[in-house]
Amino acid sequence: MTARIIMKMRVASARDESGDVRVLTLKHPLRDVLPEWEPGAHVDLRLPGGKIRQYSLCGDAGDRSQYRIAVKREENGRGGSKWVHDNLYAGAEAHVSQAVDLIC
Amino acid sequence: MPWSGTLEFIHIAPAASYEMEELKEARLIPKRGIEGDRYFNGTGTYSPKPGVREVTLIEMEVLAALARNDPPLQDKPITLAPIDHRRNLTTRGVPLNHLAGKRFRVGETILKGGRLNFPCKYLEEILGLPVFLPLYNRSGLNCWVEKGGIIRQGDAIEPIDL
Repeated sequence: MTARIIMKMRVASARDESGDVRVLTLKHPLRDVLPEWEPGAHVDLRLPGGKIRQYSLCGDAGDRSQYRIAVKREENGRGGSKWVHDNLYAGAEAHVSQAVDLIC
Repeated sequence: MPWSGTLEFIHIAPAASYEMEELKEARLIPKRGIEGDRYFNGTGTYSPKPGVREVTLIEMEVLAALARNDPPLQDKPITLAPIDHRRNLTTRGVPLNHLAGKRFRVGETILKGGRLNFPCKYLEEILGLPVFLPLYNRSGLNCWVEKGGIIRQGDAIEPIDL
């Protein structure tokens, strides 16, 4: 597995959509330009206790100023999506890896 | 005095693979390292491996050499910013390769040179930059903290053991 930088990002906006989906827009408080990515890429989201969840990036890959992920709340999942829904609101800090392209 | 240098930057990372964060001042603790850094906390990539890495240093002059593609190992210069090289202290005017086994002063603290830092493939992977070969033999110095205290950006760095 390739090592990648983990960034302390900020939730710039959190929008709840139908079907229990929260769309998070993530920005870096210090970096205007984020590592580039291509459609199909994902990021690792770090949860408390060292757990990691992977989410596909959505939105415009040409917009290097932000990452966007959509997280569906899974009541019977392992708890990652519930943690996201309970904790990640606008202004919250999120520990996110640089994007990883599907095909490297 | 044979040489005298300056502490240009202080950086720490809270855990392995986390981005480095710039500090204007930091506390050094003997047998531990820099307060808040992943090697102080024992959560660094190489924490389980033997060898000293309480504080790691690299020369600003090396970053300048990379920026002018010297030596020309690749097509173009490499921009390795102080926040990206993952060593704690960026120095200017300090002959780090000559300080293995020697004590020197950084502000009010005293460091002792351990072994020369060796470039790692991990850094290449995490940066996506071909820095392994260009950093060979000038990747910095891993040190012990012999006398703790506060270090600040701009502090003087001076030899003790010659």
